[in-house]
Amino acid sequence: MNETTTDASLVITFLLGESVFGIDASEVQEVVKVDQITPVHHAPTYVVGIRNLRGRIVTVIDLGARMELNALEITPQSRILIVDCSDESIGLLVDCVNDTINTDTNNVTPPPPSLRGVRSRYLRGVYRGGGRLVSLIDQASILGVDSPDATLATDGRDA
Amino acid sequence: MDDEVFKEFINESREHLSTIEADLLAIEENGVSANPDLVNKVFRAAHSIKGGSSFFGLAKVKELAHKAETILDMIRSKKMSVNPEITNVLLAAFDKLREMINNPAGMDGVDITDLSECLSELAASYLPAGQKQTLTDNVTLSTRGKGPNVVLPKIDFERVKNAGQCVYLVAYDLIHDIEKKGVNILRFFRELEESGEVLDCALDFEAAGTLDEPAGNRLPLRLVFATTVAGAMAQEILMAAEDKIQLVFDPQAAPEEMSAPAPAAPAAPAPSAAPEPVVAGPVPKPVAAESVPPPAPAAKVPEPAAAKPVANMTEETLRVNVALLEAMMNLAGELVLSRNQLHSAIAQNNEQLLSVADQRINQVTSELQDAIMRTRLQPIGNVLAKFPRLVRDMSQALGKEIQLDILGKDVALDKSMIEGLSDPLTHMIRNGVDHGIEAKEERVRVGKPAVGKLRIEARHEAGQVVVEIEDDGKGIDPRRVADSALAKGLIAADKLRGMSDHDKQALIFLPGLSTAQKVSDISGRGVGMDVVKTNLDHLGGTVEIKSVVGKGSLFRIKLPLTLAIIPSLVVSAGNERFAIPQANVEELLRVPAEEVKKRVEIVGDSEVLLLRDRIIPLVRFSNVVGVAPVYLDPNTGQLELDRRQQLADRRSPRHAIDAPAAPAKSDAALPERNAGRRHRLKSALEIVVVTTGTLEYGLVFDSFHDTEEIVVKPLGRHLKGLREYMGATILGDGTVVLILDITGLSLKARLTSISGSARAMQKAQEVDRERLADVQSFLLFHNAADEQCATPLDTVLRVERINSSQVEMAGGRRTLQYRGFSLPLVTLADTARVKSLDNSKDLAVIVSSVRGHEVGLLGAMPVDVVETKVAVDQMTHRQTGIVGSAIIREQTTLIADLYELVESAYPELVRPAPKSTPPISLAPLEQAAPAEDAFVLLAEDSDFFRSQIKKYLQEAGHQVMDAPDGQAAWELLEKNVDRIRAVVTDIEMPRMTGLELARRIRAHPKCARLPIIALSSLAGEDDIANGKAAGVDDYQVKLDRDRLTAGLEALWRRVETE
Repeated sequence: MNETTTDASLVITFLLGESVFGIDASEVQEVVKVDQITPVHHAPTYVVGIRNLRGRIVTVIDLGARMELNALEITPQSRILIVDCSDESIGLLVDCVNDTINTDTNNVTPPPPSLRGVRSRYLRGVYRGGGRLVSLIDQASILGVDSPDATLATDGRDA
Repeated sequence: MDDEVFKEFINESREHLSTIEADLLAIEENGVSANPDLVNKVFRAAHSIKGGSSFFGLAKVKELAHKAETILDMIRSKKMSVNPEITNVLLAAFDKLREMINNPAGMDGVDITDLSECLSELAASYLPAGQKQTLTDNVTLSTRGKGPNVVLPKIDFERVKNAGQCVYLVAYDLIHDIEKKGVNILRFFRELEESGEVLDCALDFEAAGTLDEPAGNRLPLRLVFATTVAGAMAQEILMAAEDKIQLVFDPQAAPEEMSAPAPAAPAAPAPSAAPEPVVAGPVPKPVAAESVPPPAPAAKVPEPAAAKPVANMTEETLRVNVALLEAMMNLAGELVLSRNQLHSAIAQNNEQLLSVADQRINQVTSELQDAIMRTRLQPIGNVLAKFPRLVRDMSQALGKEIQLDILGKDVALDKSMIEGLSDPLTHMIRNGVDHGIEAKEERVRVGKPAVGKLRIEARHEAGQVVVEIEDDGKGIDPRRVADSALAKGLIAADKLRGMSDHDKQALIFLPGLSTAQKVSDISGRGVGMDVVKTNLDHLGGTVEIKSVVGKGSLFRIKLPLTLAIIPSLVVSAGNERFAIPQANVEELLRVPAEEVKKRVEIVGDSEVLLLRDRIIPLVRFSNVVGVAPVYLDPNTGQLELDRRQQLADRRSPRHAIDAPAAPAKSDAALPERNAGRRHRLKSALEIVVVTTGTLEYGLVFDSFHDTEEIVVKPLGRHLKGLREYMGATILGDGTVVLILDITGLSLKARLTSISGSARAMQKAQEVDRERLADVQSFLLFHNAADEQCATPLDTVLRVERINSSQVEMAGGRRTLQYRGFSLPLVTLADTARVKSLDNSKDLAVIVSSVRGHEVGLLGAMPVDVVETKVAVDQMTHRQTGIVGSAIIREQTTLIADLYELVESAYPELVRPAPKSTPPISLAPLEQAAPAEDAFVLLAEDSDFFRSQIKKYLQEAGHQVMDAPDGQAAWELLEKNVDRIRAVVTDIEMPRMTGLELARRIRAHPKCARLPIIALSSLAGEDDIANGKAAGVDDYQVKLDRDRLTAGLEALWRRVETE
């Protein structure tokens, strides 16, 4: 790996629908195929289900739904990014994984104000370089459960 | 200083705090003769917490720990003798410390002012006037050169001075002198403590920043250490160079100070405390020590920069026996070898090797599993430890005296189990202390020792852990429990009748029942034993009661050893599988398609299942979680989507509620609507009857699979809020399935134990009322194997199952030793001409009350209860002891008349015969009107009941006029209005109902006060209210002879006295 100076970081880029997103490679433990996912009824809408990852139970989150884009359809290209978040492994379902790029902080700008609400809250910035735009995911906030849209379906009225 | 050290401090403090309580209580108990080692131990614990908190800059912890330490020192040095008040304050102080230690992040918000003052006052009150000042004064020790001053309470300084110890002030650099040497600061403190006492320390964070050297390169630490060791030895212990150590106080240099501390100390303590360094060895120069007024020092305590890494500190840790760890290492090594074996077997494609490897892996895995499980085992003492305090505090508050014995603290249980056990145990112990054990005066009054006893015992028994909680209090009164349950509508009156005392006591586990007559602030906060039971259910445990009124109660809890691996049933709904913990599974049931209609009913908008004599709520699992249900197409043998939303929709279309589960698409998927419908009719229902706490319900699935031992794994935090799942597991084939939480699921399905069972109960009553208006419950038993007999259930007190060898023959009569007396037994064959009793080992004793005596009727198994319309033939089989016969379950059944049976076998029991000596209470009546002219009017439409009740009444000494319906009764009454003294009437009758009859009677000018008793097999509160409104005085159960006559007499008496 390249010797990171403080203002460059390696980012994995992936697709959600048509849009390109990126997440810090250092935060991703591994990328796995979708395999078999057990649905969890009454879970928040952005939770696809749970999956066996070498004996561990991993919650898989539909990153599309989480970003309030369209919920993703699982295709042969779909992948799950496994990220660690305070002792728990969480899977992020994405449409397909592209490549890794080195981002330079100088080329990262705050999310444009035209992005409203959730989407901007879950982004830590937009990277502009090599002729493309990559929205950088803020891992901490996207994995949080306390945001208002993450309402857990805990009451029985919707049953 | 990193997280690790802080964590260690937190954990260590917790350990100290966990034992302090028990030790303090032991000290209190033994008073002056308390083991000095124990006092010392508590002192050390407080001291060590003080030391650490001082290092980390936790000012509040330090303050409290220090004050507690001071008091403990006074106890240690016998300046103070322990009394409950002192213990209370100390306990409160340690409670507060625990609160802060357990939540380091919230420490700043904790208010300790009151407690701190309380401790100071306590200490001051035991000090001579001259020394009180030392409590608040501080001594400031400053080093030569730069670095923080150390401010320490004067009382500590005085204490070590008086003990003749040298006091050193040592200057360290935390980074170079300690951490770079790989020394853990806490352990360093601990080592120092072995040869002296660390009085205080101070870190200078500011100094670190202001120095010329690169940031973070130095961190000055000042330490005040008291020891009897002097000179070079001290240097070695302190691990510091000569020039870093200053001797602040040397006892040899200032001997006069020890003997006469008076002149300088209190008033102007400052300069005198700074002894000139008459150095005994190569110990460096002393420092100036001066006393500072109290407010100043706090400001000097470095701001707790260390408090920052605190957020995550509540993380759990677990201590593991090293030998066990070694064993696990070995097993892990084995596992690697086995894997290699497997690799090579696969590479060689050698089947024999493969099976060898398989075997080996199998064995290693189970051993490893076992070893890992054992790491989770913890002594139950961890949870029991808090009870001495609880019992002490409670008994003080309630003015009771209780001796608590705890046995079996070492019994090991799974960690999760220990945690889950805490609440239920606490609740039961609170109950025992509050409601179980009586107040002192009451105990003395009933002849018990004034000191109550409470025993908690844990032990292993047959692969389970048993925990018993026993008190010698007043016990649980089954009648009070039963009355309370009845009054609150938690149970039907007819259910109660067949219950033994033990069953009635078990009613305390019903939700919503509390027997405490007044709600005290200690227990009885609306949560009851039902919560205990639910909690224990969660742990896969059971609880049972043994209680004797006046003697005490025993609660026995049985628990599995571990929770992490549980047997469970795997079921399918739709294409998904789920696991249900076996502990919740009561039975599996398949309702064949043709019976669905008969056995599934709709109440309101939910379904209930008729299960034998019970009615339980039914939950369609697919509807609750929204799985698309499937059914097995009997033609194709394939699973098809089932569009049926509710079981009942084929009968009542209005119930077709919206179900998110059935997407519109499936309409197209099914070839034809009617075809689908037909298939559904053919599908049977697969039902798992589950229980949780006192709630029982049926869950409908599509199919059942095997039972499997599963490992429970927690769900991630996005799913934590879902109460319907208790976790997930990975099945043998690698698929992940969710484990259902039966309690959570019932909430999701909106079944709470109250609404669910109450609704079912209401349904049961409705069903009874609609269809079974004149239905009677019979207890079926056998005489000879092919001779089915019955007796009205209303007359049965309870049924006991015994072994035939328990029956004793004496003087030609059978008896049974039963609850300390001889229960007279009869058989049908004693009196009636029937075959002799079946010669089997298991017998049933049907206990009834005849004239106030309990009598048992012997019958053969099986025993069952039926509800049936009575068409009793009182002719064909009538003989003494047999009322008649009825066809029950397509079999001629002899109906026993227990009264006649007893009368013939034990005439003396019945002898205070009605006609010869009428009941005393009748006497005044007979004086008023000659008995010949006093009649009871009986209205009852069933011939069987009429003749039976008439017989009872006559046997009780009454003359009876009877009528087959209300109209006939009214006519009889009008004719004989002066001769009729009471009316006994059925409610449901043709031509005129009992209520109408009652209304007419009340309207009659001469009958305003005529006693009216209504008869009913089932009297709900509404019925009673309706009856009262119509003029009915009392309700009695049909065929309950003794109560009917007693009720009649009571009414009579009332009329007489008016």
